[in-house]
Amino acid sequence: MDLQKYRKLFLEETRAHLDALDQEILRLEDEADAEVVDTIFRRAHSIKGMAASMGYEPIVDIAHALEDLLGKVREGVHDVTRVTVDLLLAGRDGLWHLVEAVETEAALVAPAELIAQLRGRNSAPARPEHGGVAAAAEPEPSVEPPAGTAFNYRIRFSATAALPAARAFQAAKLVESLAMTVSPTPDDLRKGSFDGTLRLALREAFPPDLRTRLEAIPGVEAIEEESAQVADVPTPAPVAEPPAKAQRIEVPSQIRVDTKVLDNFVDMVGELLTVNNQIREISRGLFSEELQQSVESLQRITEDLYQQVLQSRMVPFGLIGDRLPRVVRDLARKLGKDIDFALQGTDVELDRSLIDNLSDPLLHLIRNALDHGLETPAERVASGKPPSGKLAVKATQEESFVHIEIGDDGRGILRDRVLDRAISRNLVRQSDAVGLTDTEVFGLLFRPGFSTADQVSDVSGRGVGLDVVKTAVESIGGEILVRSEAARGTTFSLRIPARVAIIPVFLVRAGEQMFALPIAKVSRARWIDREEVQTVGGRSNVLLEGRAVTYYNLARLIGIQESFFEPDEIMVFQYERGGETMLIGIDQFIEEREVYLKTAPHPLDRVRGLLGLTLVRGVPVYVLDPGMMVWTHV
Amino acid sequence: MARVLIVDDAAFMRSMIRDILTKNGFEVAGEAGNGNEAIRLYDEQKPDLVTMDIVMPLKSGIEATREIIAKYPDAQIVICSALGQETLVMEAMEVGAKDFIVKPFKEEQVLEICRRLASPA
Repeated sequence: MDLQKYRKLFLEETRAHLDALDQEILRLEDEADAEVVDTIFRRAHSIKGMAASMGYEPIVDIAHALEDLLGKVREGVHDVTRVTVDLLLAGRDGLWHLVEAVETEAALVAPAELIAQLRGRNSAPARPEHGGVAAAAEPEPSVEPPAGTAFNYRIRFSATAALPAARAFQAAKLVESLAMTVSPTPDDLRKGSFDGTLRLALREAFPPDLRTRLEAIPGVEAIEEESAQVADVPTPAPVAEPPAKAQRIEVPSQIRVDTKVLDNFVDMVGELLTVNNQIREISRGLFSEELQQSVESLQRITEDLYQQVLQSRMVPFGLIGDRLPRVVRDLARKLGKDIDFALQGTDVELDRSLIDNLSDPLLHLIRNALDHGLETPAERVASGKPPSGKLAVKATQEESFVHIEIGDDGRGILRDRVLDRAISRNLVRQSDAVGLTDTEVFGLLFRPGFSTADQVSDVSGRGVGLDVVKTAVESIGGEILVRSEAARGTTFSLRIPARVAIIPVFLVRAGEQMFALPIAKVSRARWIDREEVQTVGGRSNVLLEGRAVTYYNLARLIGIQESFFEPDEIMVFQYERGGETMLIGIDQFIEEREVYLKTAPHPLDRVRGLLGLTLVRGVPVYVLDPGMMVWTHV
Repeated sequence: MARVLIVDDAAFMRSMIRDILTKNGFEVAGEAGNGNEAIRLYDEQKPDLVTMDIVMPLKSGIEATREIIAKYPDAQIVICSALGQETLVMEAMEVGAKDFIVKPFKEEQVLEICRRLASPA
């Protein structure tokens, strides 16, 4: 049998079980629900069966140890304590690592220590089923021979057969069904008395038919005669063949689709819309009502198709949200903090590509909250709070946006401390500090290089990185805000588009190339005279309402060949951020349109200010935020 | 051609049994992922043979076997068992399963048992 063929299926199915296990085990910590225990048991069992079929013995061993541990929980031998949950999680993780090894075709090594830990929690022998034959003391089985019996037979079973007692049971049932007496009886066998041999008494020599049927049972090693006399044997009634019936093929109602295919759909349908628009423009000039009507219905269908394609990409927030309880638990334990974690809105849907980009920022914020935001139980008690800190992640849908709030009831962000740090880092002038609103002050946290964490911690690094979070959120067309109250806690709010980032842009030409600039980032568009640009020492300025504003030619800023054509008037876009203003000059304004923003492929995704790529008439176009390019380098 | 209903909550296991059986002349009458589906498909398809997993969500293979046998006493059900399920296997045979195969499956053994059950002497 070609096992490699099954590997993919094994990986998929096992991973799905492991993902679910994570959450179910954690649920056990809150409430030792018997149904959850059963579900967990079933998953471990299913994994064991699959792994055994693939010959992945180390996986079988862990799954089996988990099963035994769960068996003890189920029987009430073990309470579900934190330690039990730890063990279950450790077992689940052990499985995960081995499954990863299967994926990478690395050698599978049985984690002896883990298995010992799992086994340590229960007193069951290592692999009881391998024993199969119960070693328990059992009285010498004696057959009560029916009157007139003279033949005694012994049926010996191989101790190495799988489930020998069950095979013996099968044989005993067969013998019993023929109105013969067997010892141990099937009932005895179910109670666990089996020493490897069945005994039966017959009134005549072993009927050949019965012998054949018994010998066909796997594990039957030998049928031996002990003594001989006379009797008769009824023959078994033949089993009627069930009638055949009309055939039907079951087709699953859901199929798996590679996300790349979905990405291609969006691109292609986007292109279709573009072409549709072009045809519509052309048809207007042709004054054919019929043509125009056809084009209109084509447009409607295409737009519906586009909506459907977008809908097919929607996944629940739970896809990442459901992993958070585990992350929070592990981190909290590591940091010695007690955390009540609440997760809401896992069924809120958003585009698959957004979920991918959301996971890092979300984890970052959660690590920050656990590491810096929430206090230790001792600190909390000292400040009159309950010892357990609260952390909540909540997703809600509001029209075409998803809001995600990450809130804690920790120490809060201290305004003065933020300001001190910002001043010392030259992010803000001492004289301006007083007049800043709280929102503005907390906004400083997102500036590059800002840090309030005084010590290095291996949980959230140096406390740097809120700027990275902001960049990541903005790169998917979202925004991030923070509210905080000293001693009361901090809440980060993310607002991101629910559907794939379809953003309105200005399509422009810089040098000989086309670029897209998101309209939301531009505060004004205007024309200026070329003469208004004053260049001194390589830096260009434009006098705007009496104040000198930095000016960049977009082509020069990016570092591409500039246009040779120098018209008298230049179109400029005004960008503002944190009290700073600049102007970006372009060579030609093409049009305003909505585009589907795709994350740039690695390593382009690392380029600051490059938000992504989009296709315009089949040509890839960079989507840029000049503000990010200029200001993050300060 | 013997028609078989394959019951297992793991698609992996179903595909393994399916492959063994179909390349050896069996025809798959249906596949079920839990006991309830198994009962429904049995009613609908009346297969010649059922391979029945024990541990499944919603309804176990033992319960499904019991219910199928209650309605169709001649149903040929072979239990798919894992190591360590000795008592469950016995219980399943007690309620009417005819035989069992043990994971990891050995192709010859699966075939031998399935052929025997699908064409009773």
